[in-house]
Amino acid sequence: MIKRIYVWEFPVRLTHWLNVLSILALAVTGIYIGAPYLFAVNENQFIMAKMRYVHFISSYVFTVSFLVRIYWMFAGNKFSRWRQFVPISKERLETLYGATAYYCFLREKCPRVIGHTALAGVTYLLLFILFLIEILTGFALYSQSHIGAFWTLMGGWLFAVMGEGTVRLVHHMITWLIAVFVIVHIYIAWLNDLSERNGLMSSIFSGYKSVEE
Amino acid sequence: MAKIAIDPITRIEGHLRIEAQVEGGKVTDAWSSGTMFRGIEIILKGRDPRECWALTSRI
Amino acid sequence: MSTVRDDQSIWEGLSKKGVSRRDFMKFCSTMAATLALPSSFVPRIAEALEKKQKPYAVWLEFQDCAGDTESILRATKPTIAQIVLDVISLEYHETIMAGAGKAAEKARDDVVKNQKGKYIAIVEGAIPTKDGGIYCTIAGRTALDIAKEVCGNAAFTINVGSCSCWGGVPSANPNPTGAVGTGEAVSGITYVNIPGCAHNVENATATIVHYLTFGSLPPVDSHHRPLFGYGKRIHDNCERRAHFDAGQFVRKWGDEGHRRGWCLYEMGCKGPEAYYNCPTVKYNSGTCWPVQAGHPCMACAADHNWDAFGPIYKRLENVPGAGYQTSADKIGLGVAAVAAAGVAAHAIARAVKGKPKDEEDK
Repeated sequence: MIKRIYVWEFPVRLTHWLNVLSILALAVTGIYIGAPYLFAVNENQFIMAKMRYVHFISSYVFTVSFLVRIYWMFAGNKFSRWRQFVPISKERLETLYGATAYYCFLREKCPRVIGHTALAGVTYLLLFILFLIEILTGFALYSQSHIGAFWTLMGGWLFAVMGEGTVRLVHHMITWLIAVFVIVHIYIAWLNDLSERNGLMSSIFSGYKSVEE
Repeated sequence: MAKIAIDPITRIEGHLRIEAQVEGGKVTDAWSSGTMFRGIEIILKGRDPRECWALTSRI
Repeated sequence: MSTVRDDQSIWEGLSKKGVSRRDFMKFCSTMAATLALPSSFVPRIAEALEKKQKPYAVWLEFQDCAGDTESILRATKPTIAQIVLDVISLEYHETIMAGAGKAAEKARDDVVKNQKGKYIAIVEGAIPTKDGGIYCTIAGRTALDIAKEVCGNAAFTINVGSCSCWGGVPSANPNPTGAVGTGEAVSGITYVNIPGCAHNVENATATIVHYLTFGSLPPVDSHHRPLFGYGKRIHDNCERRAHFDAGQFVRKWGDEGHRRGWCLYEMGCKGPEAYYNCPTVKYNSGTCWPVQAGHPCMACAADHNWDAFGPIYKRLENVPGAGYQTSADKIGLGVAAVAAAGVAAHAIARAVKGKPKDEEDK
């Protein structure tokens, strides 16, 4: 008897896809801003100006999506709560070891969890920390040309802690770390869809997973 | 016999000390010392070679 | 070096040397502009220079290359001769003073003793602190010792050039002599930093004029640099900014873009990170500055620029642990490629191993 469970609520799915789109836009424009890969043929193309424009708009979308998801970690159902991302209970830690062993070919079976395994949870926690640092360093760089207390609060204070060159380097490197995450994330989602056979891939669109009763 | 020292030598770039041993109105021995060291050669090691000119020009 | 004219004002001294009233007012206007003051302040500056007596000054050189001395030698509004003899009373400067040895030291000691608390100390060059500061001595005394005495008794200290501001070239990694700026070496002094490699003499003169006009030092940022000179980002005032926004970058030295004066961002320009007034005030009496000449900015006035921003010709800092030949992008691409390869290997291994029992179709 197959039962459909509503796992991923609308805000979770919405912020997920907003993240996908904005990260894609941020990466494409961001890599150009750091290392211009297009060659202008005339002055009217305004390539850098347009890239920065898209980058800034996407960064606002991303920041809002990030904040909404953080809020939802306290307002949403049990599958989106903050406890999914911080493995503090014994059973969560067991799924952490179990999942890691499975991906290393040390176990035949991946622990069956309806929401996230603890491994996924910890990964997303680290990812969100990367997002936070990226947002802060990004606004720090933005505050160089946008003067005011608001911008200093959003990220400008970082310059008191680390130099301008380091802020740039961190902002640049985290892009690559997120790229690594994306590669691994898509693969694991596909892999788990095959092994769990519960409609995992479609669940990020519909919100529902199928469970055998 | 007297030993004189002129430090600093002025109207030059850098820091120079000149000492001279004078006997009977003649200089019988002399020493010169550069009294400042920065270690620019040590600083150059491990850097991108294209920027070496920028540091050495500050010698 | 003459030590007369104690009762002459600055304007009187200048006019006796043949500087016309017109040139004097031009100088006051230039100073107002450099200080980012409106033209309504020009009469006030003129009045201050008419009434005030020339302040005594002592110029100290430590671990330096005399580049900042060269900078003031290129002053034309007023000329160095006028500055030395008429605007301020420069009693001691190893590179240009007449006396040497004991006579030179006496000139400095006289100012420190007779003008205690009233003279201006100008410092060029870093102060070594390792091994008791033995890496720079003058007349047998360490630079540290001289700085403590001379800066400690001055009305205030002006540090000209990056070396005296934060250590400059001698303090570049691995800083063999423990070189530091004056502010770090001597505690408890009032000082203003005018960094730059070399500094722009206009900023130093403007600081002195500010002091003479208002009786106080100009407002400074967190690095003790006057905001009028170091408050704006170079990137925001660069004449090539339009090319940056258009996406027109120099890719190779001497290419078409370089000939046309395109943006030097790709050649490692640190303009987006640097705060200095070179694009507007420029060097050599407003003649030129590095970017105008076709060379990227290296943020020479920024704290530890030789190490904090990466190589001159690269956009980003070196990744810690990697050498200068790699870049953040190369490392990033490498890491992403490893991830992709790892993922591919995992997929192949899984296919080769066959499906685990519980995944087989029943």
